[in-house]
This record gives sequence, structure tokens and C-alpha cells, in this order.
Amino acid sequence: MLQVTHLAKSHQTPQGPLQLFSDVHFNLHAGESVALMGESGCGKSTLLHMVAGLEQADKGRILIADQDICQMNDRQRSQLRRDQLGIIFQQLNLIPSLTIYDNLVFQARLANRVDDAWLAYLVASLGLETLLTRYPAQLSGGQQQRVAIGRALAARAPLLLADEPTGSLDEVNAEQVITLMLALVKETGTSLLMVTHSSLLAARLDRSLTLSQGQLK
Amino acid sequence: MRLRMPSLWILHALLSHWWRHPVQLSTLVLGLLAATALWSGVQALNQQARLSYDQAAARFDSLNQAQIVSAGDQPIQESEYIRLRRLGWAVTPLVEGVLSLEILFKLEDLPEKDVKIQIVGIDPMTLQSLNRSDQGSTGLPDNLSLNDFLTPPWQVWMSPATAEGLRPLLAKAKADGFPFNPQGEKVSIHTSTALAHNELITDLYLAQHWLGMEGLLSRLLLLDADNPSALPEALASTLRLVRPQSDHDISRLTASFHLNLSALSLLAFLVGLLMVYSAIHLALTQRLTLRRIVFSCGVSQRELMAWLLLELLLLSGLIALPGLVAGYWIATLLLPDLSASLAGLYGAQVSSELQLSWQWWQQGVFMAWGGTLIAAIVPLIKLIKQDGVHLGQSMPSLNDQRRLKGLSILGLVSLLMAVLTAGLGQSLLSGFLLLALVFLSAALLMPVILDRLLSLCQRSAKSMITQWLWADARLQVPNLSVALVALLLALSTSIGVGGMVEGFRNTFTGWLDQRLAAEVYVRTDSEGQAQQVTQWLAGTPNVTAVLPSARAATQLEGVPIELRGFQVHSTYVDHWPLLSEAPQVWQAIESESAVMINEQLARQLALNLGDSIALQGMQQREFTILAIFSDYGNPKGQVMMSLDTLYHNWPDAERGSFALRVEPSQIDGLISALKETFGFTGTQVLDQQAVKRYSLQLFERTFAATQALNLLVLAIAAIALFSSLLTLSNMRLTQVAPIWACGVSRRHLVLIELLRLLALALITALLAIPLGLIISYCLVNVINIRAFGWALPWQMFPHQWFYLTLAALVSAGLAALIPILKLHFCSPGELLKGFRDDQ
Repeated sequence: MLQVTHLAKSHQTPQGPLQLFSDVHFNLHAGESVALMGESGCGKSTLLHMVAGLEQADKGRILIADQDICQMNDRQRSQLRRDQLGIIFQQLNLIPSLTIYDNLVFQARLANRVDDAWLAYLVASLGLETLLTRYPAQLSGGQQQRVAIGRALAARAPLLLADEPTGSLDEVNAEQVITLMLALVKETGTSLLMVTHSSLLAARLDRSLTLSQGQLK
Repeated sequence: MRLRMPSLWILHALLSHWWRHPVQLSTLVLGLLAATALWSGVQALNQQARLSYDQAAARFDSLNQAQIVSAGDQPIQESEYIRLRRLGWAVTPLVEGVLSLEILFKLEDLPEKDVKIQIVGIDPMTLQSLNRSDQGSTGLPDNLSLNDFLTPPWQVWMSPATAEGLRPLLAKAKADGFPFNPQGEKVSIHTSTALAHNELITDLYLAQHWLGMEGLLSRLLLLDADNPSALPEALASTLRLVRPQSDHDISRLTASFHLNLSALSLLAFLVGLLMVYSAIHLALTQRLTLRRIVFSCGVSQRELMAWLLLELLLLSGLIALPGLVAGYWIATLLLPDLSASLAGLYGAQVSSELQLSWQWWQQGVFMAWGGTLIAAIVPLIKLIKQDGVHLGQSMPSLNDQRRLKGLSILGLVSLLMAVLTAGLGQSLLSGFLLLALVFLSAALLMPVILDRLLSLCQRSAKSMITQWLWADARLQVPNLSVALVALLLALSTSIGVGGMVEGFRNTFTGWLDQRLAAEVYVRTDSEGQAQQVTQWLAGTPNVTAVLPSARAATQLEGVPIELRGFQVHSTYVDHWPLLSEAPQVWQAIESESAVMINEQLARQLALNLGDSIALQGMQQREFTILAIFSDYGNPKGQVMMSLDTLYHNWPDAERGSFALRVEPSQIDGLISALKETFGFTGTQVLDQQAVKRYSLQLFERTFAATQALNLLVLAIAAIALFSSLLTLSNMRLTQVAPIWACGVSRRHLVLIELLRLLALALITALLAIPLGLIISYCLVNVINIRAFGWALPWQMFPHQWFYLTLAALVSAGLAALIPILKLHFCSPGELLKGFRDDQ
């Protein structure tokens, strides 16, 4: 599903270029879930964003469904995101001016893959039935993250990228959200690449990768 | 809901922001509405005026046409017309006259006593061969059918508004009055928008019948004669040839007037755009989350930009339509004043009905689109450059010192350009560029100056709370700077324009007192009547001096000018408003070697005291300029000389005007006697007070449009401040929450909020005073001279500054009312939200 080879990235700082990582390799198979761990600032979120085509790599290849995202222009990368990826950030995942329903169905509508039955199933599974006409500001952090998961899955994207999806939630809410997400990922056969600090959470995924001192272990 | 184009959901998401933020939407709507309405309103006025000028210039009876008039008091005889035709003169006859409604309809006790109807009788057969190669039309209605026009029951043409006005009277019409022909048949009435209000055009025969001028004609227009030869000797004693008035180009004369009006409307447009900018900037900043989400859901940067642009064009297009309707309404309100001032200043007749072309509507929509795109360009570029993934890490702050430094550099560059423009520019356009650069410099430097002043206040503050007040005010400047800049521009414009108008009013009143020194002014119909009046006045004991004057038209260095002849008298020597004079000027004028010129002519041709001028058509070699006089409101250059000099050099000069010196107690009696003896109308005999009253009335009407626009600009700025504060009121709760948590009561916080805002408004008003004075100086000493050719003294009016500062404080206080009440009545829970995330 995902193949990353010889990937390198550096950032410009006032002190000069800072090498985040170099020559990173990893694979993610269809239906597999992988945790990406590492210390704060090691570049794991950047790596996730590069996989999503939100940031550019210095060199290397990222193949998603056999297409190299590093060779694509902005329009092609956007099309790939629309069709192949679902992305969940730590917070501020929802469009504040749209209702929960409109947020939930947003990417599916863009990809022209709205499946009402599947949507109804997702709404029920995520416990969002009574929240559909509300706006994001009227929801708790945990509820908002559940909507974000729903949106990412509603379009039936084969690869889900999550950047510390429970980082801003308390333990109880975090547990609920992650349980729901993993259950739905398993059920749909979606691949999952998740950035997390929590080794407990990482343990619930198929395998873990750790980014440390610019190398992936 | 399913859309055929899935990408339309992006537009749906973008538009949803506005529905969820109605205050922002209102700011956008109000800003664009005001900008479009004021701009298009003034353009409608300008377009209407230009249309009227074109129609007037194209008219068969325009002053650009060579014509033959009677040399005496009596109208031209039809026999004289026939004689001319037989001699081979290509002329067409015209009968003209003005009748009151009572006389026209032969009805008594009509309520519309003051309404006068102009009747024009023509011979369309000969008129159609009028050579108007420059205009391409005679100004007659396009759909006029010659056969129906010339045969019974004949036709009468009028404007739709005139027809509407006469409609109630037609029902009461009697058979011997209008609209019946001499055979008692009702004439056929037709309308055309090409005709002026209260004007009827009909066949010569019918016009002669209604005007009681059977067998008589008013004038003869020369067909195909740009440079007519002299009249046949046999007719030279009774007829006079009038050559075309080449200086009667109203469009040229009024160009400056319209440019001034356009400049003010452009300023109003820009102040409106500041509101639009404010709304778009805030909307785009608040949609960073939306941008990240749509980006992560597979929308490319380019696609998002395209949708954002489409959204703005859609919204601005929709808002432009009511804006144009409002512009039409504003134009309708201002048109009567504008028509009056153009008629008074330039003798230009502007129709009181608005006729707008489709181009006006189109231009209005394009202006709204263009304005919106200009207002959106900076926020859109910021949005593109913004890191869309890491929210909150790269949000640029206007308060950032680098940004302020950038603004200072741009402001100083703009100021330098303004100084260069002031030094090098000579044209009216460069004058407006100078004003624009002054405004731009002020707008760019305003946030920097505010920041420095507030920082100074913060450093000098003693208590912690006062320190916070100033620090917080400083923090607010980036969010409020656009509204404060709008307020600064509106206040300084008010000070500048208000100062100019007030200064002009003072100068003009004083000038009128000097110029109108005689007690009574008389204008006769003809030279014969003038002689009778002179004889009659000689026998009137209460008249202490009779001062005749005459006029002629000629050219100087190709510039059309007006010549005035007058009799040198102590009335002029003591009162005439001279700007500069050589010694013994009055004696020299009397000796026929010297002349006085008005300021306009002196500036236009760079003439000074002692210069010699050679006027076209003069008998003697040249005249020496020995005085320059102020001549406010006159668009033309004028040369004044002794009456004898004028008659000697221009024997055809138009005579028959008199200024009379009378004991003040005898004025009314003399005017009544003149009217009774010579049948003069109200406009032919005027007392000094009436002329002054009329002139001042005209002055007020001239500036009515300017002042109305000025007031609207101020209102827009107040609304901009109000909407900015309302938009920011939610944000404020999170900013004051920590202070509240530290033990400052809500009442205290409310007071601080009010003080903070009043302080910002006060600083803005104080900054507006020097800026307003600069604007006033530019208007008086740059724009006015280049536009009208005369200068005014630069005066200051501190009472205006005081009232405007008060207005700024009241506006700020009112604008702050809702946010302050919101803070006062909000629950502790709402304040506590300030400690949570901003979703």
C-alpha cells in the first residue's frame, strides 16, 4: 500500500540547515496498522505530512498504490489525497462553519463516493446520531475527533494517516476514540499509519517504527 | 443532497463561513454596498451631465451654431426670412418663447404658477439640411415623421417627464389653448428623452399660434455656414449675424468640476474598500482551519484559490446590484443640486431625469469586482504563503516589529513621492496623485505612529492596570488598524474639505460685498431699450450714479475670453477686489491704454502686471495689464477695460447693462418704477441683496453634493469601526479573561475597555487634524488653482476640529456599546472559555 525509500528531509534554521532524517525506508501493507514513534521534534509529524503530500521531501520516493507522490505536482498530489488518503490531525480537524453532518461527508462528497448506507453505519458506530445538526464549537474534543475519524473513513480511503489523534484528549476519551478507530480500520481493511507518543497505544497496532536521530528503527 | 460537480462542495464550505459569521458578512456587504453606491452614484451624475452636454451641443439651436438675430427690439419678420432665402442664404427659421401654464392652457388659477414652458417652433424640412458634420445629428427626435409633423392636426414633442406633468391639465384644456390647433383639433402628443424638461417642440405654424407671434420669427439658423459672410446691406440694419461661440464647450468647462466629484467618490470607494479588506482579511484568517481541512481532503492550493476568488466574485456581484440601486437613489437625490450648480456656474443645462446606459450598470459591477479583488489581494497572498499544516506556528502578527518597520519604510517612500509630486507636478491629475499619496502615506504610517504613541503611554504608566490598558490597546491596533485608518481618512477629509468650503464661504462672502458695491443691477433687452433706460434714469433724482457696462467675446493666444467694458467710477476704485495692481491703474484704464484681467486668465496664460496683450479683433496695437482681480466661480478668462475702449475696438459689443448707485431707502421704489415703466421681469432688475442671496444660494448648492459625500464617508468609517469592534468582541472575552481571573471586576474591565477605545479614537482624531490641514492646503493651493484657475486663502477652523473630534469620540463610544455590554453581561462560564481552545 505504502512504500517509502531513501527519504530525506532537512529544515532551514537560523543556525543553518537541520537534517531531520535521511535515508528512511519503510513499507505499509494493505490492512496493516503501524505506529510511528519518536521524541518530540524528531520529525515524525513531518514524515507523516510528506506521506500525505502536504510537505515536500528533499529526496527519496513515496509510493502510494504504486504512484510516486514525490514526482507529482500539486494537483496530482491533491487528487491522490482525495482518492487514497484519510488524514486526522491532533486537533482543529473540522470546518467550524459546517454542521457535523457536512463535515462528516465532506471528503466523500469531494471524491464523489458518498455511500449513504456506509455513512449511516459510521454515524451509528461513532455515536454521532444526535450531533449531526450541531456545529464543531458545540462538541467536546473527543466528539470532534470521532467526527474526524468518520470523515476520514467515509470516503473509504485505503490509507489512513493519523497525527497523534488523541493527543489533545483525556484518557477516557482517548481510549474511546482509539478503540473506535482501530475497530473501524480493521473492519474496513484500511491501512493505518499513526504518529503517537504513547507506547501503550502503539502496542495495540500491528507494529511500531521509531524515528530517532534521523534514522528509522 | 448530491451535486453534479463534487467540487461545488468546496464553495459550499467557503460560503458557510459567512452564514456563521453574520457580522463579518454585514461588514463586507455594508463596505461594498457603500463603496459601489457612492462611486456609481457620482458616476451616474457625471454620465447624466455629459449626456446633457452632448445633447445640448448636438441640438439645432446650440450656441455653436451661426445664426441671424434681430438687430432691434422686434422679432424677425417672415418676409425678411423669405428675402434671405431668395438671395441664396441657406437659413432655417426658429420661433421661441416661454409661457406660463396659465397662458398656455388659457386656464385661470392653476396651482402651478411658477411652471414655465419653453415652446420651440421649427421647420423640419429646412432644419434637416443643417450641416452638423461634427455632431452627426440635429438633436431632433429620431422617430420624428416629417409627414405627420407637418400636416394637421400636427405633432408636439416633449420629454416623458413633461408629458407626465402636463397630463392632469390636458383633461381641463380649453379649445382656444394648448393642445388645440387653430382649427380646434387636438394635436398629437409624442415623447422623446432627447428633449429638455418643460420644453415643447412643434411646427413653426403652431408655435407662432400659441406664442401669439403669427408672421414673426425669433432667429434664423445658418445651414452649412461655418464662417458666414456679411449680411446683405439691405438687411444689415434690421438683422445681426451672430458667429458661433467657439468657447461654449460645456464639457471642457465642467471637466474639473466632474473630476473633483469623481475624486471624492473615489475616496468614498476606498474607505468602503477598507471595510471590505477588513472583512475579507478576518474571514481568511479565521478560515485557516478550513484551508487545512480542504487541503488534507484533496483540494489543491490552486483549486482552493480559484474557489476563493469565485466566492468573492459571486458575493461582490450579488452585493453590487443593490449597491447600484442605492447609487441610483443617491444620484436622484443629488441631481437637482448638481443641475442647479452647473447651471449657475457654467450655464450648463443638465436634465433632471436620470437616463442611465447599460454601460453604467456594467461599470458598477466591474468596479465592485475590481475593488473586491484589490481588497482581497493582500489577504489572499498571505493565505497562500501561510503554512497550512502547522496551524498557530506561523501566524504573522501585524504588530510584529518587522512588519511595522516595513510599513514605516513604505509610508516614508510614499511621503517622499508626495513631496516630489508636489514639487514637480503641474497638472490637475498630478494634484490628485499628490492627494492620493498623502492619504496612502497616512494610512501606512498610522499603525506605526499609534504603536509608538501607545508604547510611550505604556512606559510612562504608573499602575499595573494602566500599563495593561496601554499594552492591550497596542495589542488591539493590528485588528483595529484598518477601521482606525478608515476613521483617520474620513476625519481628515472632513477637516480638509470642511476647511476648504468654510474658507471659500468666508472669502466668497467678502468678495461679493466688494464686487457688488452698486445697489441695483439692470439688464435691458436691446440697445434701443438701453437708451430709453439711460434717459429715464437721468431724470430720476434718487439715482446718484448710472454705471453702464457692455460685453464682447474674443480670443487671446487662442483662448476664448470675455471682454467687459465699464465706466471708471469711485464705486469700482473703492471696492473692486484687486489681487495686485500697478500705481495709477484707474487713470491708465480710463486713458484706454491699460486693462485688468481676472486671476483665471493670469494663471492660465502666465500673465503678470506690466505684460502686454494683443486681443483678437482689436483696433489698437496692444494693452498693458495693470491689475489682476479675483473672480471666483467664473470658468472663463476675463479682460476688463473702459467702456470707451471696448466700444472703440469692438463696436458690436453687447450693451444694455447698468449698475445703479441709489440711496438704500429708495431701492425698492426704484425697482418697482423700472419694472412698471419698462416691463422688466424679476431677473432683469435685481437689487444687490437679491444677487448676493442668489450667489450664496448657488454656492451652498455647489457644495451640497461634496458635503453629502463627505458625510457619507464619515458614516462609512463609523460603521467600519463598529463592525470591527463587534467582530472582535468574542475575541476580547478570551483576552480579558486572565485579567478578570486575577481579580479585576467586570465593571472595572468594562470601564477600561471604554477608555481604551476612546483613547484610540482620540489619538486618531488628533492625528487627523494635521493630516486634514495638509489636505485642505492641497485642495486650496493645488487642486483649486489647477482645476478652476483661482486661489483661496488657506484658513483654519478650530471649531470644526473640535466638533469632529467629538464626533469621533461619540462614534467610538457608540461602536463600543454592544461589545462592552456583551462583556458586562457575559456569564463567568463564557469568560472561562478564554482558558480553553479557540474552537
